[in-house]
Amino acid sequence: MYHKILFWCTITLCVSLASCTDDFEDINTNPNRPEEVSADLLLAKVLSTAANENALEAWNRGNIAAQHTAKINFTDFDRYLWENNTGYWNDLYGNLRDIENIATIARDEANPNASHEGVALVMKAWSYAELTSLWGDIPFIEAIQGRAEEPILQPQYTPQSEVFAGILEDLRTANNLLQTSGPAIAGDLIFQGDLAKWKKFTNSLRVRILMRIADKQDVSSELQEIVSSLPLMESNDDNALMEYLSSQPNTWPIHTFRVGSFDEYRLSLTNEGVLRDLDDPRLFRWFRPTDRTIGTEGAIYAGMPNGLSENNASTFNGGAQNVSRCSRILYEEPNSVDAVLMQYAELQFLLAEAAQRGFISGDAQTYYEQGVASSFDYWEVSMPGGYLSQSGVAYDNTIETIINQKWLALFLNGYEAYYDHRRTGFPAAITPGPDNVNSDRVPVRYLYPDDQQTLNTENYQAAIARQGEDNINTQMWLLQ
Amino acid sequence: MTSEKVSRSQCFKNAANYVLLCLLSLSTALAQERTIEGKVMDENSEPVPGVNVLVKGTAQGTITDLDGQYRLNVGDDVETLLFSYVGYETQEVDINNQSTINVNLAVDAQQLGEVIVTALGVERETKALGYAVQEIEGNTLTQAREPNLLNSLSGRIAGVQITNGASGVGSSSRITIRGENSLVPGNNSPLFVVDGIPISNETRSFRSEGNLETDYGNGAAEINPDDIANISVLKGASASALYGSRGANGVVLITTKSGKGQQGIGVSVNSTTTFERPLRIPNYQNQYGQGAGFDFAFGDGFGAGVNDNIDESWGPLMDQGTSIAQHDSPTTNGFRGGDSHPSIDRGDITPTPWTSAPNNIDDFFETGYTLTNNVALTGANEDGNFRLSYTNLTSEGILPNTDLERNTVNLSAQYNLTDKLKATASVNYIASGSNNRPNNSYGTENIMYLWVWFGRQIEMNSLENYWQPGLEGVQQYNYNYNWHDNPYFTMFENTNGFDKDRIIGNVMVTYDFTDNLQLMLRSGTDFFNELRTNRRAFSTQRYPFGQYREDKIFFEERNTDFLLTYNKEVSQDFDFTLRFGGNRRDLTDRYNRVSANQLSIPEVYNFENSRIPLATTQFDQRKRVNSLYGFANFGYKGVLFLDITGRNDWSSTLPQDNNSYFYPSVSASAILTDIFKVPSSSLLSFAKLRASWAQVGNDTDPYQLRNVFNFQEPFGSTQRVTESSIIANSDLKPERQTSVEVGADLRFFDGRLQLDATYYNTSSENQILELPVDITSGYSRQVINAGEIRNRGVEVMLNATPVELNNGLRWDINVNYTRNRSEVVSLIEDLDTYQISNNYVQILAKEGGQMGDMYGTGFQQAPDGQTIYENGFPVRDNNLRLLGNYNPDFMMGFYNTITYRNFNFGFLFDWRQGGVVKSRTILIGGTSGMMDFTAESRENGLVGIGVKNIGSDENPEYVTNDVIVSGRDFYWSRYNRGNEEIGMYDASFVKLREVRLGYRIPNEVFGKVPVRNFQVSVVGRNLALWTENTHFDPEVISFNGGTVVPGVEDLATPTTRSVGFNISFEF
Repeated sequence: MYHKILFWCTITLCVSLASCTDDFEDINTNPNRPEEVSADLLLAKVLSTAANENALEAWNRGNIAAQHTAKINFTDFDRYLWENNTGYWNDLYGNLRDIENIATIARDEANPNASHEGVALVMKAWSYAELTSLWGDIPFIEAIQGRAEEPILQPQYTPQSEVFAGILEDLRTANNLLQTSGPAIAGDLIFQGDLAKWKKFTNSLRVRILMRIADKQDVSSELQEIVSSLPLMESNDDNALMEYLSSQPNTWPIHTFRVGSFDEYRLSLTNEGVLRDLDDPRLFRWFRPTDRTIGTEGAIYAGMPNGLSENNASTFNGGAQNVSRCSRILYEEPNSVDAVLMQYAELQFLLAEAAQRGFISGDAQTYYEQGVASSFDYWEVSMPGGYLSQSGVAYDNTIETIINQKWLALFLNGYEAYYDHRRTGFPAAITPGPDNVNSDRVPVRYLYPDDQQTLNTENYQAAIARQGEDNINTQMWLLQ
Repeated sequence: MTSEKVSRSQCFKNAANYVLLCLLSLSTALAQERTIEGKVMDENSEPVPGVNVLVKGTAQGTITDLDGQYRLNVGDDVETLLFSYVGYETQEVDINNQSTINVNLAVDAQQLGEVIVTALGVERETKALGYAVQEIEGNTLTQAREPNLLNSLSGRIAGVQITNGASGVGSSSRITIRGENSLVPGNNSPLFVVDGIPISNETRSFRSEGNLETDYGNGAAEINPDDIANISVLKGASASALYGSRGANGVVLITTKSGKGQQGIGVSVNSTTTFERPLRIPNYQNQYGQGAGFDFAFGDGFGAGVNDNIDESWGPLMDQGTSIAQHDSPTTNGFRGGDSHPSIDRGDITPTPWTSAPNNIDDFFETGYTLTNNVALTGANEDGNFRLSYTNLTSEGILPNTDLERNTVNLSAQYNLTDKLKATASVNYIASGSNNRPNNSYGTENIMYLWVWFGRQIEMNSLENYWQPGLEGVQQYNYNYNWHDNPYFTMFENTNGFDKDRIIGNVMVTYDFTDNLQLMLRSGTDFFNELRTNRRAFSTQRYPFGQYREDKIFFEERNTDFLLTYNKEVSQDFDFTLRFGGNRRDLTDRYNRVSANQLSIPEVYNFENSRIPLATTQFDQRKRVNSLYGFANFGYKGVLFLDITGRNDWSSTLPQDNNSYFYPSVSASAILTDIFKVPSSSLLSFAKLRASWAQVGNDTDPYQLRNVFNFQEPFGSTQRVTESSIIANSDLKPERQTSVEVGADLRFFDGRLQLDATYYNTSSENQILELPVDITSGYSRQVINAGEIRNRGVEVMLNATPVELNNGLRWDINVNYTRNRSEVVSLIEDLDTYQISNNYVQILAKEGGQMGDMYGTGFQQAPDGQTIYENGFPVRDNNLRLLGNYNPDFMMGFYNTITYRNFNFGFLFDWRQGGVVKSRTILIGGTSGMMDFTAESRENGLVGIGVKNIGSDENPEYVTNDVIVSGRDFYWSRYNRGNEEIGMYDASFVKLREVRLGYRIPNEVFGKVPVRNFQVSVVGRNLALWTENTHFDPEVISFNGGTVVPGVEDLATPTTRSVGFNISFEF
């Protein structure tokens, strides 16, 4: 009896082991992750990532490079020991993957959505503008094709001039795609689906980009066309920004840092000087009195120099209790500051400069004063009477005055203030700190990420052969 | 041959035994005695001279004379005699008032043939194997008590490298056999098999929600050493070919104890107590306290005092008789300085003496202990046997409030249902848990992080009372509030507990159709449920409102197999065995994490207490592998052997068209001494040559074939997804490993000297791996088949018995030597570098390079090699350079045992030569003023040794650097954690891994009390360490992304030295 039972058991087992692979496909289908999604789910991720990373970059590096703040601890970056900032590079390119996915889904013939496509193009332009402005030549034309029909895993670098041309082309297309009457979009954490605002942002961004390359090529006709005939931001209501939420994990990220990490960033002497000279009350919005004097009648705001050595920074002026920290809105409050992509004030300063340089018709002073006022408005600080007429602020037909005010308005706005300083040299108060390790030069770019040396070797080599040595002082096309 | 061997050793034994007899007859004087006599004969009724006749459990006895006769005086209380002789099975005979006892001895096939457990649990004669296998007896594991099974193998087996984890008892260990074959760091573990059923040896750690990783141990370490009968290590692909894919990195076969051989009921007890202390902690400076610029005064720990925002030790000179306000100084209102919460009216701080606390960090560590108690019940009769064992392990770690408790019940039973049908079942139930396991790696949750940022003046006991008064549960008390958590607060409030229930078991029936044909059916499982709970109290730096997190893991692996065996002795000269079998393996893996990252009410750890939406993650995985296999063993005259195997797997993880893969192996061995009839008088008593060739195929993890989208935490109520940045591959092929191995087993002087050497060459191709790709393609990794890694190596084992005296003194030496080179032969077209990991130092596989090569940055060098300085600071060179390799050049283990009568003494040295390790402790502690070397020239400043450029960039002119910079700035720039090269240390070490002194109390001491085989031992592990650096144990592993990463010391908890004692007895 056992013979038979065991014999048939064995035979059955054999047959099933050899033949039974029909359910393998089912077993190997991921039950947890979808293979297809809708564009709105991706859009929410793309927008929140871009806005949040830009805000974090502003806090960690942009504010330091522009000397809005200075470091009292871990001062390497402030001393210009700049490295490759691989994190930001990776975040931007990683986000571009999803931007490309949105565009692909939006172009689906069965169910097209020109609005999603337009928004994708705007975010694509915004992302590449960051990349090329910080690194120079970058993979652009061949980028984000890892899963294309003909995959490209080692994209060639595109010369910066062509990157900017491509960015502007994408924005022009986006302007055409984005129509107030266009299909609705969802997942929009910036404008909550308001397509008119997207169109205004699109053209405002065009102004930013055109002014960035204004020293390299004639941008006046395109600028004039935009100003004359296309919608632009009209007030702080049109600001391209993401509002943080009051509860984790969607709060202003610094809010959840350790106190010590927040306290590394202090009022810089450069900023203190400018704000104090102008009796600018934004000082009190952004910073707090020194620990030693806080709560006393003689409360003072004191900055520290940028670019001090570890030892000199922590002992400057008798130590940390004598240097102003950043204010409560930047730490204790979860959502009092925004993740800003672009503000109305910045647009006004851009137009002021364009008008002042004769690129567009229009009154530079009006633009300028509108810019100053809307910055105060944005920061919920009332502008003191006579602020606009006082020396140092009053419009005087110089780029310097415009940029100095723009610089203040760009506090906590990515690297915009740094780009302006790199382009114009203003504010002139920005000078390398005493213990800098870059031979008294302000760095002009980041190194390419280490991975580029190993994962995209030939194209990397070709790029540095064209652009110049991969160091922080190499002048990219924009600055040549 | 058999008779030759017996007669040869006979003479030798006889002489020894006569001397023994003389010695024994001196030790007389037993109270009441009786005389027992008889004759010992072999199977052919021929008398056997020289047989040991012993009173069981003692050294008392005699030997038989030339006629096989013996005569022995024994005490009245003696119940059993033992008859033993080499080559024969030992017999136990109960006296039962008999005065004449005649015995027939049976030839012991096992002893003559040295049977060993091989793949699929098949027992084979060692001499018939064409590949290297090494076996360890279970009792060697329990004697020098190491609760982690893997660690106890350290230094004992040629070709095997074990790296101990450092989170105390229950931490993970990394094991590799014959080097690393896979480019995926987690895929180099061998397969562990318990009683024929594969088990999980995974290390699972999930770093998310801002929590650092915690080491909850690896699967195989949970197997209880007390239940292990023996361990066979199958090293090469041919040894493991029958385990298929999973045997590619070798197989560790564990056979648990059974009741076999026991007459009646027996009880054994084994109890061990060990105590642990840190083996080595860093050397700190004791001149300067906390602060900056030689100045400090505590205000509120946030910066309101003088430099009290600073957590580093660049403050005032200590022990100068000065007094300074400190966190533990009293205040005018009766509080401590650190009771600085705004709600407390603390008053002013009264300064207290500023003195050094040289032992503060040492003081934090406690003496850990581990208690292991095992009771086993065995029984047997002619129809079957059983063994039931219970083991409790209770351990407290060297870090306060860390522990591990493990209860294991093991039951194995065998019953002969009929003459032909036999059923076996074994089950292991393992319940383990902990209230708190320490965190690893860099961050506030790891206690070791605090010690690289600390004040050298802080007395540890000042922090023990870790709440601010009136704010218990809400606000911790600390020396610094800017960065850190109070270490006692971390250990006692912020716990990482777990509870795990695991069952490993199988049932098996065998049926003998005829004497030659046998069928085995078996089904087994390894499954566990694990719940991990993380608690974070209010005021934790990373979780101001606390946190509660649960991770749930369910894992099940089921294997069902059959094996049909047919053996036939065709003629006297020729025999063969054919086997045919199949296996189905089903894997289920579920993970679910829920986390409340802010709580409403302090100290209530419950999801309903969450003040924000819960964060969750979940994944499920399934996998199935079907296999069919056959193998044949041929033997010719017992001197030539040939094995052939073939196996086909079908895996669900591979594309439908490519999911079937076949792989063969062949191996042979020849007993030269028998073939060439080497005379028995020669020095060489045994010589065997072996050779093998084998292939193994391999599949991959589930869900690698199609791209998917991943969910992210929603923004408010807006859902977010992102496409996976890993490019899936629908054209995957199975991996393939090919290995060749040759070896020899030589024995001299009648086996008193044995040399076993193996050379192997293993090549792994078509590896399935996630190749990093340039992120500018939009993707970070791509699943591909790529690469070839070649491991070549030599293993030598030497066993010798240099001393074996007639007085019972015996000294055995066991030396093993391992040398392995893992070469990256090729990667993929267009790619010559593959990044294996980037855990503070890049581990890169480069074509032509070695596995384990570490790359990082260092300083710029002048043409003559000197470091270039600018403004007194060394200049960073951002180009990656080779910093060394974490694999040793060679490893050696020296194991010695000396026995004399009832004493036995053993010690094991473990030597690893070569390799480098990066220390993050030294780098960061170098920048924070903690390490001893930072005290030097702090006040006058330092001039870095090197050159400076006084020419231009284009035409440099280097002169000796003479720029003085302040001490703090100098150390900051030199030990900056980005300067990987500065943190590299030689990883060579010699460890006194194990020392054991045991004494067996003679049974007669217990008289009528039924206690037998009472053994007491004193044991010590990791007693001494010799290595280049004075700060840390280079045998260290760090965690990254859930896998153990070698080569980096990332603020590791110190390894431990342990001493203790062991008691075992039977009744």
